[in-house]
Amino acid sequence: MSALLGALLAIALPWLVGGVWVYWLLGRYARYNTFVVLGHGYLLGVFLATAALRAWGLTGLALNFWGPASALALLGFAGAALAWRRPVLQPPAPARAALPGWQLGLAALLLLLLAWRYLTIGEELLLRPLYPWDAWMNWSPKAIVWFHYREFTPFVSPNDWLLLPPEDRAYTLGAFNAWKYPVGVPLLELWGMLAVGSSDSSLVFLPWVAVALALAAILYGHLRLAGAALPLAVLGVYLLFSQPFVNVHSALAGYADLWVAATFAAAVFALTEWEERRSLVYAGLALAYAAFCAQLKIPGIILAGMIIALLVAIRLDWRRLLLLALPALALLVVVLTWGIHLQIPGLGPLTLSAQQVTIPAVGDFRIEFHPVQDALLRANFLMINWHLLWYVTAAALVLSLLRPRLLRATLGSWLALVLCVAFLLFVYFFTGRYRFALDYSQVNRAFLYAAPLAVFFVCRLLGRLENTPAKPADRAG
Amino acid sequence: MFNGGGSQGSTAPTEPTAIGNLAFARAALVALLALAISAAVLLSLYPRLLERSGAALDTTPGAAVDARPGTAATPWAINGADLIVRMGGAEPGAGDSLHVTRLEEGVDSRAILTRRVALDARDYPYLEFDIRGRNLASYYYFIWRTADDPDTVHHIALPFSGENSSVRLLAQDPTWRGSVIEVGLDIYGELRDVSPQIRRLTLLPAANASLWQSIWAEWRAQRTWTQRSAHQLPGTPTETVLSPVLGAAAWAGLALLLALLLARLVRASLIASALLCLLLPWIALDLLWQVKLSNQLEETRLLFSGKSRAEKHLADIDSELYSYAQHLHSEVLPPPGAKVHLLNEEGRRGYRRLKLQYYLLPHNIFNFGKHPIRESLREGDYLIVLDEVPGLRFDRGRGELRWGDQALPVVRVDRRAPGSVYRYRGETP
Repeated sequence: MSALLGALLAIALPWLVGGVWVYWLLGRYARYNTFVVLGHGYLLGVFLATAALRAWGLTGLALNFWGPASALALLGFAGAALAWRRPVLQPPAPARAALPGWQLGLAALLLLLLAWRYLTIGEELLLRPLYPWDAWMNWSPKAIVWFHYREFTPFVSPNDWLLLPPEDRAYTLGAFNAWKYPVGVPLLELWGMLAVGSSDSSLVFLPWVAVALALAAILYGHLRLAGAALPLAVLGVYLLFSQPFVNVHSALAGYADLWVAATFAAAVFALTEWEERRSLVYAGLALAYAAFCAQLKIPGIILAGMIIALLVAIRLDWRRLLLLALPALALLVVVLTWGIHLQIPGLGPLTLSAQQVTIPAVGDFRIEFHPVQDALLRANFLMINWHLLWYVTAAALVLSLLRPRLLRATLGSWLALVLCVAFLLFVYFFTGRYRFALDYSQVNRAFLYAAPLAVFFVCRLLGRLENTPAKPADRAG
Repeated sequence: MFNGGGSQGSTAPTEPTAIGNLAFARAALVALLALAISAAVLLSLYPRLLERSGAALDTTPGAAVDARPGTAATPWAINGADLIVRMGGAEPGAGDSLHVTRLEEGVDSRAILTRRVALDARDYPYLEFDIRGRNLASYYYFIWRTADDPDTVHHIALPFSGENSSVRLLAQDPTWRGSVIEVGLDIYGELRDVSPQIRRLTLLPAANASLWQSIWAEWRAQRTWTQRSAHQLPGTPTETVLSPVLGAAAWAGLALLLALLLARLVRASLIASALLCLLLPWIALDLLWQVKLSNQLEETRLLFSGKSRAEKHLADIDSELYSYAQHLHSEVLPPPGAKVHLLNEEGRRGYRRLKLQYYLLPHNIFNFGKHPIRESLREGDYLIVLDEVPGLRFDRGRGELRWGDQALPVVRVDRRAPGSVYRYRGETP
């Protein structure tokens, strides 16, 4: 198999299998469209591919592509058989009306700009050897070692590595804590390496473009499900994928952040269906993404917790939400006054206090205020990372607060966005991570998790805004 | 306009009851008019705002001229041929220009060209530079010395905007002050078989047009990817006059307010007008970014297109480390499995040590510290000393690596820039 064919298969197979299952699952409720199936299909498929690799590793057989790929294909056949035996419900066809020329023209223009962008990015990715720092320092080394030995060779802390007996084979990494980072991205790379047959090929990183396409499909599909017209849904996709910082994480592939952002966003978008339609399938999809998110990066563990919290919170009406807020407030008072210290069996200590936060598998954080507002303002409002996104989002948030009707109509996406941004602000204002805001090494990557949510919220808000009635004669176009 | 109505009640999105083409055209006209007025207002107001805010710092063009009433500074032009080559090589070109033909090897490859002058920095807040044949792998700095401190050479980067002629605001640099006695160019990087042509350096007095030209040049400034590109995209040189994002936000914001007023007057769609006021500046910013990406792709093609994997690594920024790693893979280290300790003077996050570790994968490497950790070494372990580590030396006579008062019995198995490789012999009982 040629390298290119292998790379394409490594993308297409999970996409197909995930797509089949998403199609079958969402088809139970007839609340989906092609783009939702395509987008969720890829993300879910990648999650399944990494799970298949892990399962193969447990068998003790040498790691290879065709074994886990066959298992994945079987899973796909099973999904297809289910769909065959119990046909899915087709969503009602949208009422077709000829779109005015300006809508088609605008959508075409924006899609053309995006096509130009991602062709540029695709060529950049394929031509350049692995480039960005954390990619070769933190994420690729595990995959390269596993690819070489065809087994999941353990990675240990530098101190443990020094104490290893000579007969034990274990590796450590050059960044002190990288050995314990979640394995989602190395598994994803390993999947590509096994398919391509090389650990040194840019083709391995093609999924960093595929995930952008998948997220674009998810965003478009969910905006359409939420009632957005075609130009607004295309505008949403353009707003997100024209952003330089989103682009750069595909062009300079190899970081985990784009995957975390895509997975978290996909979960939140799915939750809005759970919010509005009580669709259990979408809730289940969000939970699957929570699990995937936690395997991608340490902040993904917190975001996974956020997905679960949102899953509960956004189904509640105001009264119940307030009722839930009361014990939460009481808990906050307890935390700030006395603190909470627990020993969680198998995980370790959990500490929540005004001075210290310790979360198992996440880390220890001393709580102190750090004035990082200048760096945050510069990163989000002056540098070219985000175009005008945060200006527009700030205006939309203010508008939603001024008009409760808008807030109610967009509550789920509003809550997710506010929660995510509040979490990021807390991290950089109150923990030792502040230094990564001051040197800009991390802060933009963190706001990448909120960017799709911001676009989704802004577009949903736009969709809810009343239009000034045009004169009847104009409507015919 | 945008709400298809699919989320309320029905399960299928319906196509919108959209505004028609005529209504949209009216809204577009309103938006364009609002954007035009907004641009005109900002173009005339911003220099005054800058003048006011900067006057106290004495860094603004307006302040510079106003501070010397009666001084009518005229542009001070220096042709390329007027520059004297202090380092590197150059040849005269057509029209009093100068072609830089060679960079002098040293710590960096560089050329320095200067010219004695006698001028007051306050009279010339801007520099227009006309240089042809630049590329993204070479870096140009405008340099100067002042009468107050003649031993210090000050500098300001001249960003590459892809255009032949650009303007740079000098007055924002706090060292562009006092009596200037010498100016010139410092060029380093790679010429890539092209002799860039220095046509003219022109020091300019204050003028709004120069301010906007310098801002435009900063917005177009091009840099290749750096290891920070996946962390932040400043988009402009570090010391920038006006952020393009802030500029676009001000443009869009003012236009939005105007459009809301105008749309009511002419009964145009408020939302369509407002959206276009946001979208057009967004697209303008986006095109600026696309140009940067496309220029970067040209550079990437130049470096890597049509090359094998190995050739690409050899064309990359750290080809020296890659070559060294390949040498160690093929000629020095045993097959992966042996434990390797990588020693280097850099701290934990040193680029060279970490990148070498990556290139040496799948070798099993401990990459911390600059001296061996004796108690963790086992006979047969390898030690790679990357670059010179002060205080760590090999005693050939005794066959020992020595540092401080410690010695480690080793065999030196390889010595080739930029490192040396040793095998630990174990402690003799």
